[in-house]
Amino acid sequence: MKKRIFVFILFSIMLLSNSCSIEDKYAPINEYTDIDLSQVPFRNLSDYGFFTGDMKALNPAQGVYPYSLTSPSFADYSAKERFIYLPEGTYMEYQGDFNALQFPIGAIIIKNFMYYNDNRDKSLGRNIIETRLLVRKETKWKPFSYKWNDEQTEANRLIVGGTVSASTIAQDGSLKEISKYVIPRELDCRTCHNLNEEMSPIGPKPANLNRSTVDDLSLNQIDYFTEEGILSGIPSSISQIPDYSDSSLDPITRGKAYLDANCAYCHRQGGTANANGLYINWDYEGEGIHTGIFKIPTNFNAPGFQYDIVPGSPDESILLYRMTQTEAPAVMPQLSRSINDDIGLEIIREYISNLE
Amino acid sequence: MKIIRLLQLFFILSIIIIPSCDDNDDPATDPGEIVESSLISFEAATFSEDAFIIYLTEEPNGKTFSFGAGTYSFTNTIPLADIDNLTIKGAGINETYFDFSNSTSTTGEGIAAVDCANLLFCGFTIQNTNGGNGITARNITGLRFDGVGTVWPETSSDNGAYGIYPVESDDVIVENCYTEGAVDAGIYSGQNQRVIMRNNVMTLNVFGMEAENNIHVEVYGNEFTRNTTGLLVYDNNGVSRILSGSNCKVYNNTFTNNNESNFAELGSSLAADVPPGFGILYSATSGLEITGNTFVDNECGGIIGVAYYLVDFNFDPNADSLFTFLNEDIYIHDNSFSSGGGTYNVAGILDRPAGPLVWYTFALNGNVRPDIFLDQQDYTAGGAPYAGTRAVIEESSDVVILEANFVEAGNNVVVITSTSLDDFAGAGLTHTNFDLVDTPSDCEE
Repeated sequence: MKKRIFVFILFSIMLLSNSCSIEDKYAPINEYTDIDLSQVPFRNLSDYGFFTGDMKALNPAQGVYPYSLTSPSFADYSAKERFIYLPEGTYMEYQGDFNALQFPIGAIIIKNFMYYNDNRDKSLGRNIIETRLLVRKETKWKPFSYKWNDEQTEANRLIVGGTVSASTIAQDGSLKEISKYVIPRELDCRTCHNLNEEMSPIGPKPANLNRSTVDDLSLNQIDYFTEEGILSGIPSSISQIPDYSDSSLDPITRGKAYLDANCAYCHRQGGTANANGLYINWDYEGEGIHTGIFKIPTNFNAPGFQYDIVPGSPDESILLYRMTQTEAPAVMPQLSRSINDDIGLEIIREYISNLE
Repeated sequence: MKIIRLLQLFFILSIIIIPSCDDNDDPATDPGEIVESSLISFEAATFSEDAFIIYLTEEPNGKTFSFGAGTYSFTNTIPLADIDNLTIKGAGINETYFDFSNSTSTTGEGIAAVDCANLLFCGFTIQNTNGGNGITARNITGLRFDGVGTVWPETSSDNGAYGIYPVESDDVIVENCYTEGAVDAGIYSGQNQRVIMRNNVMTLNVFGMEAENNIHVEVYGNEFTRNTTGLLVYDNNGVSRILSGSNCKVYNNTFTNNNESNFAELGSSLAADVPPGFGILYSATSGLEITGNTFVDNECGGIIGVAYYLVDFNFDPNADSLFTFLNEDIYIHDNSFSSGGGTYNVAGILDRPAGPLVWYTFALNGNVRPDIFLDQQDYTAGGAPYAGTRAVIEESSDVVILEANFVEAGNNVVVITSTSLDDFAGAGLTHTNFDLVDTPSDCEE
């Protein structure tokens, strides 16, 4: 008997001594954030040391760079704040205007999803829902997901995903109630982040980064990265995918920008939906059936419809129909949208109406 | 004893709640100790979907997940990504059920696998997925389904399109499977290389089975019973990996009573277009050998072969010059038919877009139903004539054949061009054998 008691005590002490000691914690905030890749994923978001001070303010530490995109994807009216962490002395490399930058081993792309109470006045407060990380491990990208607590003091790793409810006032003043915002399972990340059979970043491609920085509207983001020494190989001129929310754009340009941001990560050559042969990325230069025009879907029966796009007839086009659906199997995109994107529907309606 | 219990409790609690900087020791986010074993066993009574998902996320390579008899309820699709060597096995196709009645998956699929090598599924049935495929498997090298069922018990247009759906994969075996209720095809193979589909049973699907844009296929030993149509072999236009399928052999299958009303909602799929009553439908395909099959009581005929115009009346061969929209190198021989000759009798034939064509042609031929019903494949589009090659047919003299020119099929202007087997003589192109890399099956263990 006594022997068993002793063993239990010994085990318990061993376990206790195995818990955190202070030097395991992240680096002091006034130094370059140094993340031990072999320890990633950490259990808590704070363990990475991405942000200084009050974490919910998302003030980046040294080595963590904010960025934004010309044409971001719709995700149930959530707002996103994006950062890139680069290990000290490393940099990103240009691989073409429309290809994601090449990242060094140890790089981490950080995407925070949040709801502002009122998107017209951000000082009225916000609630951060989740932070998704794409980590450049030695041989491949790995996704890790963190859900923020109600107090907004910490986010804990959540492999299995979940749903939360949220509401927000959109830019046009309308109240949007999202009863089922989905935090994806980590395994779901690959559904979108997939190119040529490998996990891949989507947003940070030069044509999508070609805009002002987050903090300084007069400073081009790509120039800034180059000056900081964290981006190399940029040619003298690069393309830009315009901001689809800009209503002054012509309907075709606007539609193409929207499709690129919201559909083309799957619907491009080498994307998740490669098999379907629908390529609606901004830089697809072919004509004919692969653009969706008079294309019969490969594996979807849209009731009463025949083609993905019927030029001039948005209401006969499956592309628009699936954007109005919110349930399986018709909903498109398949992840990240539980309610309709009203502006997106208008953009695509105008786009198809203007196709010849 | 009380002290020991307290210490035991303390010991257990210390494992659960004491924080640590090592990331792999939290039972709430980590599978725990048994992760060392390559065999992970689940029982229905104690199954945790989250625990299973964590296994699949953290270290799935080389694992066998074994599910005991019973019903496992899932709330979302089972995702498999970037895995090398994985087996999911149940206690048997009629013993272990994965039920998705309560799933809120936005793709509606049961299992979705992508970018994996050497996957084996055996001995379980997936039922009631919420509108998506039973199992989707994309870009898999080495894939085997052995004794897997996909079932929607009611024939509803809300059912999933496909039961078993391997696509863009290499070395695929689908065997001893059962599918029921798929609103498109029970078993599908699309844009795959080297495929064997054998000894499966398909019933009450719109198509029992579909082979689309594959290279090297064998379909044999299957039972197609009471589907709308038994088997579809065709090439779809505008896909990516394999634009034109080839080298498909369909042999020693039985096609019985495939006359069920089409329960797909009229829409954009070919499946929704077809009238009931055929054993095999082929279209826009090249290199197809059909032999040794038995066709019984398929009311519209054993085999129907048509050009792509039946699929898409607006198809423009000038715009899509890469796509072979006519059938080429079709060889039909030594099959057994017991349907032809009588008058056809099938409900719902006129309800489907392709139905009037069938109905009209049969009527034109004195309401005699054929065993083999073919399109002459003679079209003019944009001023250019397109003429396909005739199938080569070697069947007994009592087989009823009906060939028609469907030039203006959309307007039901049809001309009967042949009812004589003699017109289909020639040297048929036989199937080329191929070597498939076999994913070993340990399902019997």
